[in-house]
Amino acid sequence: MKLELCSVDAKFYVFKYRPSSHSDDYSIVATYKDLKKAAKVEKALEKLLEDIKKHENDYDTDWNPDEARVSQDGCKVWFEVYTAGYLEDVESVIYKVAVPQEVECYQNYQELTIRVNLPRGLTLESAMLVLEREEAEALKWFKNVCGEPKTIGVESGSQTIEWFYSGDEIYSDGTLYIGFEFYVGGHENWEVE
Amino acid sequence: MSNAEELLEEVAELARKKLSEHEASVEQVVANLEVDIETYVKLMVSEVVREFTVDAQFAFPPLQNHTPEEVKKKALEFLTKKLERDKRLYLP
Repeated sequence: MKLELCSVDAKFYVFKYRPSSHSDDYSIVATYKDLKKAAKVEKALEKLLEDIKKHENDYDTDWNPDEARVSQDGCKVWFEVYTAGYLEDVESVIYKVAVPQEVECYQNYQELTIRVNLPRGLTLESAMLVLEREEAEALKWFKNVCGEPKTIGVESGSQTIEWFYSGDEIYSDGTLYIGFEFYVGGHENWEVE
Repeated sequence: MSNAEELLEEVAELARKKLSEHEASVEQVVANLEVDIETYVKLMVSEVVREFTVDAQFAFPPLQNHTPEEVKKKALEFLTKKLERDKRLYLP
């Protein structure tokens, strides 16, 4: 989910999401132009956590600062916490300390590797036409979201294609939730890890 | 424009005015940031407006459970609190 400023009027802006009635693991990933800016934001977020501890009554949050995690990975700064969406003060730091190039927000962030075994010589486009509708829709979804897959293995009669997915939670209890429920266990040629 | 939207416009204007009254503090804070004053003010105003979006809707019939004046007062108090937060976070 992109977390962007949404203009409601030329004179001011509001963020897109607000706290909800249930909690999730939120991951906000802000990308900055250079390492220096990212480091400055990371330091400011650490200071924010300390400030929440010292001035608890000045903040409207449902999470404990000791349970939040701030980290820097190159020009990206990560903020992770379990919350119902009480992230306004975090967003404030992310946007005020430096202008981010991009801010993404994930709920229950997942990284997955999806492998699909297809008959050798069958292109992805052809596979979408000849495979059963549900499987074809799943291939189409991954192509749209993750781009062209890598071909990682070719055997005499088959080939394996692979996607790497990162983002909101889509996989749980053997089922992919990708606009519809795709039960991976019901398809021997599919593997998710 | 609805009554609630008009009230939010007023809140935004009041917030801008309040920040201009604290120009020295704002300049000190922004000196430690990588954004310009205009961006900082816009973000501060957005924080206030966002916080009172729902309250603004409940300031008019048929949902009315407080007055527009109460919303404006609370919004300015909220802004003061956020400015104090930023001074703690960004001033050395």
